Amino acid sequence: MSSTPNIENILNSLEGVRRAEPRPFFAARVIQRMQEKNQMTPSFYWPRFALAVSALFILIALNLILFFSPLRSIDQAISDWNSATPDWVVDYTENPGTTIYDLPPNK
Amino acid sequence: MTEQELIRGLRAYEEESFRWLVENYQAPVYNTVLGIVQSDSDAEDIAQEVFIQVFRSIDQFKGESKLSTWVYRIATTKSLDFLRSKKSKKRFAFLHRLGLPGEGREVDIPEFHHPGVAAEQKETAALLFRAIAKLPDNQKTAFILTRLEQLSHAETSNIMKITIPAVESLLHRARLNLKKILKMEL
Repeated sequence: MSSTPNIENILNSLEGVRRAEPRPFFAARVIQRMQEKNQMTPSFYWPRFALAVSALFILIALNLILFFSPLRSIDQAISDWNSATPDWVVDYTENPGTTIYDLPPNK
Repeated sequence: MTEQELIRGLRAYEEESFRWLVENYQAPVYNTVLGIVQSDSDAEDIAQEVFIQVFRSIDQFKGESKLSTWVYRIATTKSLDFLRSKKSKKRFAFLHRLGLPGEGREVDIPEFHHPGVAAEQKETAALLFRAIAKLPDNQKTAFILTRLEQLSHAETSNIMKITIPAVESLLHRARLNLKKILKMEL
C-alpha cells in the first residue's frame, strides 16, 4: 500500500477550511500605520516640492533677464573698441611696413 | 451600520467608519491575501495596505458594485502585485549572484500551512497550496476566492470583472493544472 496521498484527496483538502484571521489589534495597527503615513507624507514631499518650485522660478527669472536685458549691438561694440585703440595700433594697420616689434612712435 | 452610511463616513474621513470597515472586513481580506501570498507576515502587511488604499481612494468608488466586491478586488490586485515584485526581485538576485542568464528557473516555494485547515488535512493542504502557487494569476485568484474564501461564482465574477462562465472555465483549467502539477510532484 502506497503512502502517497491521492490527488483527489489533495484537491479536496480545502473542504471545510476555516477563515484565517489576522493577529489581535489589527485595526489599531492599520490606523497607527495610516497616521504615520499621513504624518510622513508632508515632511517627505514638501522639501522636494519647494526645491522644484524654486528651481523653476530661478530658471524663469534667468530667462527673463536675458531676454529683456539691453544687449549692445555688434556695431556699437566695434566703435567702442576703435575709440579705445591706441594710435600706434591704427598706424600699424595703415602702414603695414612696420612690424609689431617696432617701438611705438614717440608723440 | 448600512453600506451607504459606511461609504458616507469613509468619504468624510471619519475614524469610526474606518475602524468599523477594518473590524468587519479584516478576516475576508486577510484570508484572501494569505491564500494568494502564502506568508503570514506578508499577508498582514498587504492586508494593512489594502485598508489604507480603500480609505485613500474611497472617492473613486462609484458604487456600481458592492463595497465588499471593491475591497476584494483591491486585495487580490495588491497580493498579485506583491507576488510579481517578489518574483522579479528573486530572479534579479539570482542573475546578480551568478552573473548568468537564469531564464526558466523556478523560485523556491516554502511550505505553507493555512491556519484554518483541519489537523488531519494539514499535509495534503500544504501540497495543494504549493501547487496553487504555481498556477497562473487568474486561475489562482478564481480558485482562492471560490475554494478558500468560499465565494459564489457570481461574486467571484464581479470581483474579477469577468462573466460567470469565464470563472467556471478558469476553475476547470485550474483543477486540470493542479492535477498535472501534483502528478509531477508526487
